[in-house]
Amino acid sequence: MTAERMEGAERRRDVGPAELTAREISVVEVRSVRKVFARRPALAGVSFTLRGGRVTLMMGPNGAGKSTLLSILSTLSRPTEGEVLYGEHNHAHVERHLRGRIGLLSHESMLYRRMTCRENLLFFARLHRVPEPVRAVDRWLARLKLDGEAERPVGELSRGQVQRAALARVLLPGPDLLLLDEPFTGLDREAVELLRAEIVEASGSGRIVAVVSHDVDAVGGLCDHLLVLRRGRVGVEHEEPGLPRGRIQELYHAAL
Amino acid sequence: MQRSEPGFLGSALRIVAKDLLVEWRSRAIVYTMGFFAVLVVVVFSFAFAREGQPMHDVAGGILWVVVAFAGTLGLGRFFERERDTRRALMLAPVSRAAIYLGKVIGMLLFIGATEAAVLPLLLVLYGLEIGHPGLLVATLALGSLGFAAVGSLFGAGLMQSRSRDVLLGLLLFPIVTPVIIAGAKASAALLAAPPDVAAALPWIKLLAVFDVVFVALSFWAFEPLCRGE
Repeated sequence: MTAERMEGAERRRDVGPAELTAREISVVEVRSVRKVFARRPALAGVSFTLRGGRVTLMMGPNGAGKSTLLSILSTLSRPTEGEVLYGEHNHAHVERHLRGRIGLLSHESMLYRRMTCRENLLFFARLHRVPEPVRAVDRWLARLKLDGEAERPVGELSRGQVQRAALARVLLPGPDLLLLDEPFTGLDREAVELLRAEIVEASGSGRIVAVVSHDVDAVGGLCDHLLVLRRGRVGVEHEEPGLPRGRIQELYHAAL
Repeated sequence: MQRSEPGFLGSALRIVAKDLLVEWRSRAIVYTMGFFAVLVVVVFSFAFAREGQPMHDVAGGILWVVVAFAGTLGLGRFFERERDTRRALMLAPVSRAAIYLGKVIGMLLFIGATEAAVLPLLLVLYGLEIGHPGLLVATLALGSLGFAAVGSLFGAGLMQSRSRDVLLGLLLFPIVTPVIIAGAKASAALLAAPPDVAAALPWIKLLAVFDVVFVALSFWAFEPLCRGE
C-alpha cells in the first residue's frame, strides 16, 4: 500500500459518519451509478464529481435522467448499482447524517399552500434548528424581497414569489450541497437576477451547487462545469470557468 | 454551521402543530369526516329500527363503521396535503420515526374529534347510557391508535400513487379488521344495558396487543417505505 493510500485509509477511520454533520461536504463523487425503474434504466452508469465552490450545470432532453440523478444526489432515492461518496463516505452509511446538509429546490415549491410565507419558513427553520429562527426568517424574507408578502398564504402568491419563498426555504438552513431543478422557470427578470446572485454567493462561500436548467440565458456565465446527459449517460462533461451562453449551446448540441 | 439534532418529541409535535394550523385554515378534513360520521349515525338509526325504535345492540358496530370509513376519508386528505412537501420533510434533520409519530398523533386527533362528535349523537338517537366511561374511552383510544398507526403507514407509502384512494382501502381494511371487530364487540358490550365488562375486557386486551405489535412494526417500516423500497 502506498503512503498516500495508507493516509487515505487513516482518514476514513478518523472521520466517522457521526462527525459528518459538523464537516463541510466539499466533494461529492458519483461512481458508475445506475438506476433502473421497472427494468427500464433511467441512469445507465453515470460518473462525475461535484466540487465545492463550483457551479455544475446539468442538461439533457426529457427522460435523460436529470431528475433521477438529483433525487439520488439528495439521498431521497438510492442507486440500483454504483455509489455516491459524500466526502469520503458512501451514501448508504451517512444518509441520516446528510439530512439538513442538502437543499433541494424542485418544480414543486415544497411549501404548505394554506400557511403564510413566514409560517412556512419558520416551520422549516425550526425543524432544521436554525439559530434564532425568527430573525433568520426575517433576514431571508428581506434578502429575497418577500417582506411585503410575508403574511400572505403561499397559495395566493404568484409563481415567481412562490419560487423565491421556496429558495428561502432551501437556503435558510445553510446547506452544503445545493440542488436546483429548473429554478428559473416562471421567474421574471428581477427574480432571475436575484437567484443568480444567490447561486454566485452560495458557490463563492464554498458550497457545491448543481443546477438542472435549459434556460441558457439565465445560466450563461454562471457555471464552471457542464454535464450533458443523454439516455442515462454522460454525453459531454466540460469544465470552464464562467461558461458563456454560446459555449453551453454548442456543447449541448454536440452531445445530442 | 453546527447545530444540535432536533429532539424527537419536539420535532413530532412541531409537525402536529403545523398539521393543525393547516387544518384550521381549510377545515377540509374535519368537515369531511364529521359530515360523513353524522350522516352514517343518523341513517343507520332509521335503517336499524325495531317497532319504530333504534336497535341498541348495533350502536357499537355503527361507531366503528364510522371510525373505519371516516378515518379512511380523513387519511386520504391528510396525506394528500403532504404530497408536494414530502421531500422537504424527508430532507430535514429529523428522525423519520418522529415524522411518523407526528402524523399518527395528528390522525389520532382527527379521529378523536370525530368520535367526540358522534358519540353523544349515538347516545341520544339510540337511547344509550355509558355505564363505564373510562373503559369506553380506553376502547376508543386503543382502537383509534391501531387504526391511525397502520393508516398513517399506508397513507405515507401511497402518497405518490395515482390510485392511492383505491389502494388505501384495499391495503388498510384487511389489516385493521381485527381493530374494527374488537372495537365493535367491546363497545357493544360496554353500551349494553346493563354493561357487560367481562365480555368487553378480552376485546380491549386484543386491541392493546394489536397496538403494541403494529405500532412497533409501523415505526420500523416507515423509513424504507418513504424511500419507496
